[in-house]
Amino acid sequence: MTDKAAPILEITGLSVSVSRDGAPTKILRDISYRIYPGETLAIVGESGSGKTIGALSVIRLLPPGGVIDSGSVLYAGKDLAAATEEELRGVRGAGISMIFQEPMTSLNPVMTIGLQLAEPLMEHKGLSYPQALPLCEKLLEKVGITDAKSRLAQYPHNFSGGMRQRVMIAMALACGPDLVIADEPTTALDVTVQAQILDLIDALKKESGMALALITHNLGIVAQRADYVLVFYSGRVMERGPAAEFFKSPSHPYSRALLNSLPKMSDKPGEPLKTIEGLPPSFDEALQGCPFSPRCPEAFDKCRTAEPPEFETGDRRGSKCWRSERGFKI
Amino acid sequence: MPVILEIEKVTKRYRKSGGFFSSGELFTAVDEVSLNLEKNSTLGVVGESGSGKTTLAKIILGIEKPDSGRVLLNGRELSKLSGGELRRARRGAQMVFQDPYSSLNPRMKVKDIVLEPLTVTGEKITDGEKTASDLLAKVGLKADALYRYPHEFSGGQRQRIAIARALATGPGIILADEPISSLDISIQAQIMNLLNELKKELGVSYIFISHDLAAVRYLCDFVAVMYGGCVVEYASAAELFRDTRHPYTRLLLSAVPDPDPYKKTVLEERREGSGAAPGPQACVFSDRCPRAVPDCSKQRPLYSEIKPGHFVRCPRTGDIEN
Repeated sequence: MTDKAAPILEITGLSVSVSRDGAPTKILRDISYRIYPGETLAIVGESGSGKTIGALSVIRLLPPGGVIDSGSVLYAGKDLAAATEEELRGVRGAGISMIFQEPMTSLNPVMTIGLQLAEPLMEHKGLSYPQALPLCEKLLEKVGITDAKSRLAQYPHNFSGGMRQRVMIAMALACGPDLVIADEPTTALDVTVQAQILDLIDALKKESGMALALITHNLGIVAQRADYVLVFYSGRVMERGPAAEFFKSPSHPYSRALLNSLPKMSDKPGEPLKTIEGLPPSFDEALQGCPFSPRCPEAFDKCRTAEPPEFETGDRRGSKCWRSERGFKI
Repeated sequence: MPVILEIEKVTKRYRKSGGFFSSGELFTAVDEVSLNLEKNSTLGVVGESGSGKTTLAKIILGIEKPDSGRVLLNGRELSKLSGGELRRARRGAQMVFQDPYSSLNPRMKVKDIVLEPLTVTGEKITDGEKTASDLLAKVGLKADALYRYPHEFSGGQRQRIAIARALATGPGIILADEPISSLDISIQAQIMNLLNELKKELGVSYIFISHDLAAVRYLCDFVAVMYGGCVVEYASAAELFRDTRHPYTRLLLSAVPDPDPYKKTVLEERREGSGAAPGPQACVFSDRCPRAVPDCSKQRPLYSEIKPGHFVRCPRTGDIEN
């Protein structure tokens, strides 16, 4: 996780819009970030902030009607934003793979676990099913599923929620990816199972040196697991930086408000929690200035008229807030 | 404080669906649960899926009848009532569900939604508009919401509508089943504040079913931890988080990621269960308990008061140091 290593993925100025009924709506604006080997990058934000699209657009998994307007996604010397579908198919599930939130719905209920696990190996490594099976058995063992051989012949309904998520992880790992994008991988699970699954992902990450992009709304998970944090709001990265610094001294007022609204050990029962008034803007709303300014307790005149660019606030740290501008004075 | 709800040794069993020719085996969803709820207090019920939280809620509301034991709501036993009497008694406890997107009828106007608990219990409403707008005011919504439909509101606003509906009958108890877990963080705080304000103003009590332990610690006066249909630990919230005794509660607390990167949370030692539930004579947690001794699978522990107001269903809590 050192800056000296080359990044696995370098995203620069990525903008995405979605057309519905012919009218394009901008949903990602000027997203830039890097992921280094072995790093856990947490992508946080409220629903509708663009955090999932922000992660999945790197392999061009866009919502219906979605297009990349500008920007580049550099992976292994190639720009994925400009790559052909054919080239992308070679990357998806191989060099960059995904784990989705709902292990119930992301597995095919009428295919055996073995066949589903073998699929990426057959697709990307050119193996036949009998050749892939011993590897599948090893993969299941790796994710802590005992009795792997007989489990391969079973169907998803024979597995509990936590076990299905282990199978999803095994599928994501099948081709030895450089990066795994995990979209809320533990949200549907019980808290003890959640801890086990995250421990497993951490252990596998250490073993293989892969990087992890973890999309989550749980700031506890971010504090415990992440090296680097991106905070999404209204399709923009409002703040980014190393996780420890982010929690210690968040740069952006939105980050501060988010951290303040969590109930903490030190809160006295009955004392009201600090909340963020109002609602996040919807993507088709015409906005002036900073998209957070209507809810921001620290906003001043300029915030309502001009949208701030990203200001550097430290090493690999940035904040889209006029208050982060060097030499800022009111 | 007077007690508004008494749950005495309530047990509920279901028959698992068996094969075509065989009837399934019995499965105990709620196992001899005893709890009291004081007026104007909040009881948190925590536990993993399948621990019996929702079945217990259904029994409290009179949707399910217990196989044994009894539930007294305002001193009356719901399972002994029927017809109009039951409908009227049920007004004393109302429900708020997890997902405000599926718990509000999309074809009904907000006014009809919040008045529905009154109309279905046969109450004559003289001024519906005023009653409904008063209810909305209590949850911080303006009267212009009355004639709009649920889809016009955000998740947090919908949850406010669901709370207004629950308040319509003037209940003593509101049962809230994961009422904030589908909401964004900034909205969760708003709803938690609202629940606390209503408690203060209206004197209602809550049963707050949740797996979010930070929210439970913040909102609740008392906490019951359920596992395998049993209450394995019960105490005031302050006591439970300060002096956690049951091995399952300890595992649960250790699994919650702390939003402070300098406080590393480490999952307590655990054992993988065999998958089969322990037999009726064993402790429900014995197959996963890191501290289990052979006796734990031979004798079901008693629910005992280890200090005033702190109950644990584990005989080995003396060995646990904090």
